[in-house]
Amino acid sequence: MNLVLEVQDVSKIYGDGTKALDHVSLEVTEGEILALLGENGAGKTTLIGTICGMVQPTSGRILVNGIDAWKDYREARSKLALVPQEIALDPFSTVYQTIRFARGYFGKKHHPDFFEKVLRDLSLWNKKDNKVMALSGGMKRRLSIAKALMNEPKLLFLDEPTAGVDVELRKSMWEMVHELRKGGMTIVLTTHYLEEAEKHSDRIAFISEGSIKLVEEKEDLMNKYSGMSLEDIFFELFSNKE
Amino acid sequence: MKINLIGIWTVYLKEMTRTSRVIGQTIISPVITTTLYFVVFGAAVGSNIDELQGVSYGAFIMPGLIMLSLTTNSLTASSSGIYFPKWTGVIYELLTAPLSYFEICLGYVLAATTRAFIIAVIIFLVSLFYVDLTMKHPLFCLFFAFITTLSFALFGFVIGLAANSFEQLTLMPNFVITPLSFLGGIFYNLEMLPPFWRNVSVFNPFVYMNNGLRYGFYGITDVDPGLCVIVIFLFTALNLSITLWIFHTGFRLRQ
Repeated sequence: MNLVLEVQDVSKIYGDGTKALDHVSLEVTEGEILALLGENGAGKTTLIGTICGMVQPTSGRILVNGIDAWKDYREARSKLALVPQEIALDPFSTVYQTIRFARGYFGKKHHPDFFEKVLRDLSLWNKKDNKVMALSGGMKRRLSIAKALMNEPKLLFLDEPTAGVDVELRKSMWEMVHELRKGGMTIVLTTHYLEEAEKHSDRIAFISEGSIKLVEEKEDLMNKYSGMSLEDIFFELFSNKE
Repeated sequence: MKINLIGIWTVYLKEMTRTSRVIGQTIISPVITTTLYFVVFGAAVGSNIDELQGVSYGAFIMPGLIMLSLTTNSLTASSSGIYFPKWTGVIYELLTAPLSYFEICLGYVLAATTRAFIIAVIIFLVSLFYVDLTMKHPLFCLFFAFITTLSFALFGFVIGLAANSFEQLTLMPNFVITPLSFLGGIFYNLEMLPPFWRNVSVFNPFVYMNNGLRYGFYGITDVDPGLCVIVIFLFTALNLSITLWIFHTGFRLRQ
């Protein structure tokens, strides 16, 4: 299988000396759903930030489809999209403007048919002329996903996609994730809901204190710790880490 | 070299959309404020003042008021333009897009320049009701106004990046730009000042900006027009250097 993402020995040390990532290496294969798990402050969002262009790594290399994500950032970023943990939308723009601008930043032309399809798929078409500030929390989260899809990415990062989302929306979001994967997209997600990671991912990566502790096929991991849930495995691994 | 033209256009378009969304605040309010200056100082007070350097008082103050409008509006447009997405977190969509720092900056600076020019043109048209205008050096006027506006838009971009609060955002325009601008000879020529303050004014860059534009309109100035051009180029070079340093370090943009 083709590698969509190669994170090679990446470290991130902030100006105040905080080591957020410590020689992280990780590979992601085309078409898979990888769940990146770890406690708060483990380095999940920083790692995603270094891949997507928000956090400059101190050392190491990141390849997206074999392209250096920092040296050839234009080409690399044209294959990526991020749905951030915090909902970050311009409250005064309309839904339609939001996705139109999102596509434009990626150097892609206005594409009304595509906009309509994405908004319909995410049940936002009838809200297209509404201002973002008038949307419910669930709609805003769906709009964040719509924004990310505007780039037609090969690799989608979902940082805590279901945090603070009600059960119904959570279900529909997971259905959408699987639909996207079916369409050929590779997905890397972080979540604190371990039962969701257990149910929906193909592989699991555990990160703690800025370094990857384990990367394994979910099935293999579950077989290895037979009878245990992913949550139990998580506690087992992290309570023994000292 | 690849350039993301659609990306630059999108940054520009989004900023212009923001401008039009709050047109009362971004366009109408500054136009009314400046028009009031014309009515009060140009028409009411000015009718009792003799000509200054061969032009009516209303005509004398007009270039300075246009310059004040260009500098403050371009500065506030670009500073708030880049600060707002930082504040809301929406900046991530620029940082994760295939856009260079230069392209991001260019989009904001061009939008701020456009906004400032729209206001300046309206003020210019309004001023025609109050003063008889001549434009001796129209190309110089346009060139000088454009460079100054661009430079202040760059300056605003730097301020917007450096600011950590809305209060910090308004510090520079309220406490530095506007006072220096008013003390830069909008309403008087340097000969009207006592010698001490005349000498102090030499260090105020707005003296050169106001006089540069006044020279473009009427061919009159307190300082050499060549010096005005040099000062604005130096100011632009300073702003460009700071901006390039930001591009190099990612200051307040990337962690």
